[in-house]
Amino acid sequence: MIALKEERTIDADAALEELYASHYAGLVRLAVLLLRDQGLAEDVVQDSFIAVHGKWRRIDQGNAPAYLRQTVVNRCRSALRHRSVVARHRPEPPPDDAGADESVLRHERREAVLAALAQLPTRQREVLVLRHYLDLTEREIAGTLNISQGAVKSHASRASAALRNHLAGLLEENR
Amino acid sequence: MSTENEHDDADIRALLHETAAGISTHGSLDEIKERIVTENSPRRWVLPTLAAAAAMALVVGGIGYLLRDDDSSTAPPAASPTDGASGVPAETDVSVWYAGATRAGHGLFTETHPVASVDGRPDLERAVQLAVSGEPHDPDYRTLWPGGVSVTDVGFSGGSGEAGTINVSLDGPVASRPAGMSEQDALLAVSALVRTAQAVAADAPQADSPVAFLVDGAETATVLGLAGDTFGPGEDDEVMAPVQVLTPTDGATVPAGSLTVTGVAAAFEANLNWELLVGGDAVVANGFATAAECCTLSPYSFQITDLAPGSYTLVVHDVDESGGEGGGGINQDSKEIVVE
Repeated sequence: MIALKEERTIDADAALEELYASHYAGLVRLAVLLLRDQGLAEDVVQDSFIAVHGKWRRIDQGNAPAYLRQTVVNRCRSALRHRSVVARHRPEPPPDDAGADESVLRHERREAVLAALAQLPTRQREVLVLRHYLDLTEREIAGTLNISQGAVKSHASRASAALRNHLAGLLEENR
Repeated sequence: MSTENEHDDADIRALLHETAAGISTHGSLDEIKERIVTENSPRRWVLPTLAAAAAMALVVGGIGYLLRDDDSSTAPPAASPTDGASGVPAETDVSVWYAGATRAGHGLFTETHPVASVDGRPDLERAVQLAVSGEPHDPDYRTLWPGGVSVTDVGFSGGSGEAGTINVSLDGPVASRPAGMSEQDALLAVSALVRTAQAVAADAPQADSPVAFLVDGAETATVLGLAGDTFGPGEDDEVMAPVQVLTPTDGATVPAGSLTVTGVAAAFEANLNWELLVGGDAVVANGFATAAECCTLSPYSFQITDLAPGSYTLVVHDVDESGGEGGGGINQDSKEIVVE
């Protein structure tokens, strides 16, 4: 978290730099976990930074990181809807540069986790990722998703059970 | 229901962190700054240019995947013959998708409409026209397509599955997005058309194929401002209204006694409430119903008994997940019915 609370006069450009430095990489990873699509995730996160920059004077600047996070989660949801309706015939994908210097096994594990996440209902996936990747409290998750804490608990337990089911093998290996 | 406690989820947490750590992040602050300078107008979706192989494979190979309606339990019957023995031109009931209000913007609802059948098959062109400019039975629903659009042809090309397409020719102002229409509404308008075309074409080998559009007789780069080569129906949970009543239909006359209400819902804890109103606000009966599954679109049904003759409003709705905290409101569907 960055300490913007006492600096009410910080301007939008300076805020953008601070938010970028502290949160960009983490938010892209969050968006990849939610979308299973690297390029789309980067688009969504960049769009969110631009939106927050544009609205800087009108938002609660002390809670800018939370606002940014909520913007990313909401935009991921919209992007999923878009992706499910519109199809484009895209060029062949470039080679996965991240895969070059990592073990094939590790790559496969990651793909398996992303695939399992993609099978969860949207809400369950959001709750699971906010809870276990971003380590948010139930209260923070409820605020981000605009649902009750009871709903967070319920979605979280269903999501864990479903993921455990999909990834029984991987979780076993980790013990 | 899981009985896993917080402690036991440490393994899931570790797996998510491991996965996240392996995700590379591209992009730079300069890129964002540059876009802030160059983009003063509302921007449309830009296609991802940098993408991991797996993500791209999902999208490229995913056209068929995205289009498969693998949850047939929630799909209403595509077409069923009505009455062939009456001598009048045969009609077939088809499913047509329209938009209505939900807690979060619009969502799609399904209605059944009769269309003439040609050689025993429902008139596909007419069905698609209904999705574009037809009048829904339920006055709470409407088409999201702009006025003045006519469907001039619907045909097929290619084989089944990924290779084939349903080709829809439209005349009218549909290439760009009309002023005031949101991207979400454009997606829903297209999804409603695609769902209607795919359902009516259920017997054709291309029934699951995406839709390609021709506008005013020519290929088009965009439809309602959405850039795409082909268009699919979207995932149910992304486009469909979360609470829907399929029967009775709006304006239906039903016999006194007992009435079975059916529909589909994606509701928290699968819980639904219903009320029967007289005069629009006096509750004469109410109760609960449970959908087959929680949180994802699945069927429900319940019975109302001891129904006396009269005019009623039936309302089925979900329960505000935030307990009122978020001022979130509810998702609902209502039907005016007459009991005789």
